[in-house]
Amino acid sequence: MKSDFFKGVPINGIIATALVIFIFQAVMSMYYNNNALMFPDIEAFNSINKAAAAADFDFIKVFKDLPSKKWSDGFLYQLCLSPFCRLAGKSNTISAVFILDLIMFAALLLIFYRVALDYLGGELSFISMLLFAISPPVMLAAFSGAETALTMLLFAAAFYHAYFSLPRKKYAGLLVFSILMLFNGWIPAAFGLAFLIYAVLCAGEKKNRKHMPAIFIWAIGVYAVAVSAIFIYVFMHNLSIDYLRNNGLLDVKTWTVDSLFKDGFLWSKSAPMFFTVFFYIAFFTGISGELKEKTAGIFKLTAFLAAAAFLAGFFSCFEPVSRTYLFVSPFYFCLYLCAMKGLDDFSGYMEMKKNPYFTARNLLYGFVMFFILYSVIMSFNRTVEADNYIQYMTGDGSVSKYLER
Amino acid sequence: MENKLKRYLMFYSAAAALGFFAVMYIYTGFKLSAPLDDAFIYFQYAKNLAAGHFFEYVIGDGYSSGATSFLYAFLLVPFALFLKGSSIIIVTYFLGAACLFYSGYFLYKTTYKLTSDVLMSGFAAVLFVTNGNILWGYFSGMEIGLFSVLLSANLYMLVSGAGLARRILFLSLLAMVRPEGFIMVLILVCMQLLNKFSGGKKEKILPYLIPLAAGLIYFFINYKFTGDFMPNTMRSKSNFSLNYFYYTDILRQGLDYYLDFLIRIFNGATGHYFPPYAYFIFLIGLLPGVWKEIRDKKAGLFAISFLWFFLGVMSTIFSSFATVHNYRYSMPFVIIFCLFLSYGAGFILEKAEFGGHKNKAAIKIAVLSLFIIFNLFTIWANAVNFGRDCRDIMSQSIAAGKWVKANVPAGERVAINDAGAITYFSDARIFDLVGLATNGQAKVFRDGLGTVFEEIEHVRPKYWMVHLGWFNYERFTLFKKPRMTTFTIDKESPYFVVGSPEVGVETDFTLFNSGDTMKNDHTEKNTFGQVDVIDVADIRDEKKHAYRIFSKGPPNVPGTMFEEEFNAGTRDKVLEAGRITGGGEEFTITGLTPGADLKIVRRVFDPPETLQKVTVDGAAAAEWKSPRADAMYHEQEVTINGKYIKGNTARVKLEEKSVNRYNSFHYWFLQRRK
Repeated sequence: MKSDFFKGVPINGIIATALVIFIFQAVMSMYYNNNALMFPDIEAFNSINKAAAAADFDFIKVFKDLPSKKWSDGFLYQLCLSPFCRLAGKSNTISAVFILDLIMFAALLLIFYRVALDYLGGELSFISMLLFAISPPVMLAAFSGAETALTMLLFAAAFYHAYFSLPRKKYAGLLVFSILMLFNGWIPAAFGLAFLIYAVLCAGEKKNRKHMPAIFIWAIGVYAVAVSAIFIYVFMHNLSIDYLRNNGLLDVKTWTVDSLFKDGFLWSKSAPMFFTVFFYIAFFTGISGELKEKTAGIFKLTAFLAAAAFLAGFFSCFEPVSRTYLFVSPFYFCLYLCAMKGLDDFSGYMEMKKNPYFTARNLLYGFVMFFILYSVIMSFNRTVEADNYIQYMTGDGSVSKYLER
Repeated sequence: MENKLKRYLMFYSAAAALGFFAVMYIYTGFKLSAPLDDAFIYFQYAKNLAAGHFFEYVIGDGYSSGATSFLYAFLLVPFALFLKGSSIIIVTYFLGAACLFYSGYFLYKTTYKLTSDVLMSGFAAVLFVTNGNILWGYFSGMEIGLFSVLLSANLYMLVSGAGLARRILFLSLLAMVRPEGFIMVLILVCMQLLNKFSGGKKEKILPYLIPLAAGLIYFFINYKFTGDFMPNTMRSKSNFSLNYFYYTDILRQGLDYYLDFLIRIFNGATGHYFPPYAYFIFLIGLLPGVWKEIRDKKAGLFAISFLWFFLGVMSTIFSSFATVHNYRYSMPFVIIFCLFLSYGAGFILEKAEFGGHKNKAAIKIAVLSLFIIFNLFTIWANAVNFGRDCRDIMSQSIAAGKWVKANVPAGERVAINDAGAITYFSDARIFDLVGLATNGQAKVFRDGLGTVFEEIEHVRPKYWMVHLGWFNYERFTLFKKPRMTTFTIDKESPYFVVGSPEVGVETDFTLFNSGDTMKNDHTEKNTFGQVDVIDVADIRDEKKHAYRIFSKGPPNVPGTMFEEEFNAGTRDKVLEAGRITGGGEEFTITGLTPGADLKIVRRVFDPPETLQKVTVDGAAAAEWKSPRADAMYHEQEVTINGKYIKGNTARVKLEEKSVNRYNSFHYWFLQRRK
């Protein structure tokens, strides 16, 4: 599989894509911080401080004393980060983490491309990878400095094994990466749990084929309840009126559906306009096919992951300071794969052979061009919006030590 | 069929004009009015143009660039020759009807060239002309219809292979109708260049310089008479004309609004212009053609329409006025939207098999009718809005203009906002606080109430006629009490055409220039003498001293303040404007004696504790530490050793070192006498 992984993969193109995005994020960060690199999220520095404490073997600090937000308080990322913190020293920690983020991001894009190459075909794989790379939640999460960058990579690796290895009844890869996600925070744990449940469903596929639809529905129901309990713990830890008043939740003047979903209902605000429509075209077509054939396929896995992402987006509204790209972004791996499939299917279906304008290719690439332009605008906007928070970071005592020269 | 359509369109356009005229007439109590004040700006320019004064808004005040549409102002001139007062409004209905007819006609012709389908072509025309928002815009007395028809005419020239001379003529007209029109022509010329160099095809480029030159005429005339290429209207409204901004944040705000705008208006999220998901159908109609042209390396109707629509709408978004007046700035681009919405709908309906239904045509008509039924309701909604807007303009803007004519002595300067109807009906010597009709004022307006006051101290208008929502100086000793008159409306007007009370007041000059002098003695028994002074937030004085204020970095920008309060210790009352920043200031002072100690005195208000590094001509000269003080005016001072004063002028820089923001209202510079 090692040689198969890189077969047909345009490594230079993928690295170039990662580099361009890295440069953009770095330049914007420096623009808002007087030419010094900086992360706009306190969650990044919570992790860095814990990593620094872990490097000093001060685990009481890591697990007890140092603050962290519940939606980003695993310890796997901090442990991985600690040798880099020790090597780089305080004044170079931020730069070192940026470089580490670049490496993880490039690996993420490689995995995405590899899956897309098989799932979508050669023609669409690079474009899909490009669209995925420039999507605002992925871009921001990848260079957030927080553990979501590692979660995305673990998620991608688990998905890769779910796609390639599980059909061949090889479970090791999936199990390893899913279990690792359990140690990276509560929300990554929810995603990890989805992969584990999927592994169980696959393992019992032959035996339970007759009852697969019912088992799936029960499984997703139980999963949703379990995951809701996790997210209630993470986001709704204080429902007193004082707290809700102070965190801005009660300031919402007119409640709408969007008040309950920071990324819009069904991620409509975080992806280009109409993009998620194509996700649903592929998803519902795929899952109905799997239910009909009574198989445990990749769309069933997507259903679990979508449920987790949906519920995370909903419950996070009870914690207005939480930023969804720090925990929902791993899900965009499947969203973009399925959406591109849906777009491909839609274009093929809508093709009018006699009309030189409405060919499948013109429809497909016309929309891809629109989505790319839309994503560029959205990503620029979200990056500027995020970097506006840098001014609040520099005054924080737990952050300023990394800025001293 | 075409002749039939022309007849129907003609009849419809006339009926629409008559209908909206009747709505206006009924709502205003049988008087003539327009749904927004800006229409009267064009009437005023046309009136004065007809009298031989080239773009003079107030006769005797010289050229001003308050008419964004160069072409439209000229179009009204023949009518202004013989139609006086409100009667010119009648002409705008004829013009609107003519534009509506031709817009629908060109849209039909363009769609027919694409589809050869009479039904879809007719649908495209009907879809556009029956949109109530379009009718509101076309009969508003503004250049919306003219811009729109020129866009559709030029699109038709693209597909029809019209002769070069005709294409150049229509492009020239488009370039002169508004700056956005000039941008559209520039885009088209760039696409022609691209076609020439990428496709290897024979494209004539030189003739296309003619419409570019035609469009540039307006900018050069502006520059010749005002020193600024851009018209005043852009300076007072564009976000890129703010005095302090960072490009990244302005772009983000504008682009966020732009994406939201596309969803709300074109995707029907608010049910205002189009039904839900209209935008998706539009994209289906447009995008495949764009990709085909990219692949064929020849930009044609699709690529140009794509750029015209998206860049055209985007060009209107970076303005503080983007949402007002029924989104009139983006309204002309609706014609492009309707073209490809129809094209996309036609494709979808053609693709849908309808189960091999016999009456496919009937089903098609039934589906298309949904759009038209939606439009009928937009006509109803906008007719009501139109009537209310005309009524409110009558109650406020026109009434205010007539009041000024009757009550303000001729020749007296009147400070106003909403420069249209007041000037048109009074012919008063107005001072436009927003800066549309008064050159150089737009920059002042963008800085805030305080800076406007500093300019008013120079202009000294005796009277005001303003909306309090815009210029509420009532809590200051500036507006004499009681008011001379008030014009109110019961509710906020649709599309924010007017609002808040409009008040007529006299100026109270008591505290004018009260901030010009130091209230405390800083001369140290006359051992120091004043050599220079800077009135902060007075744009004229700041320019004289090459004054610059800066923040610590993005996204923070300096602000302005405006306070009326006592001076600490002396009980002098001061009314002054100032600036506030967490970064610093820089300025040039003159009249210095080399070698003599320099004392800098600064007036501040409610100051926090601050610590500033003072640099003179690049050398660190002093540290200026100031304590926290109460909410009054105070005068702080710092003395610079004479060794840092090396010439008659010095460039001084102040940089705040603490996390606080400091403010400054006035600077005096004193030197030790020899």
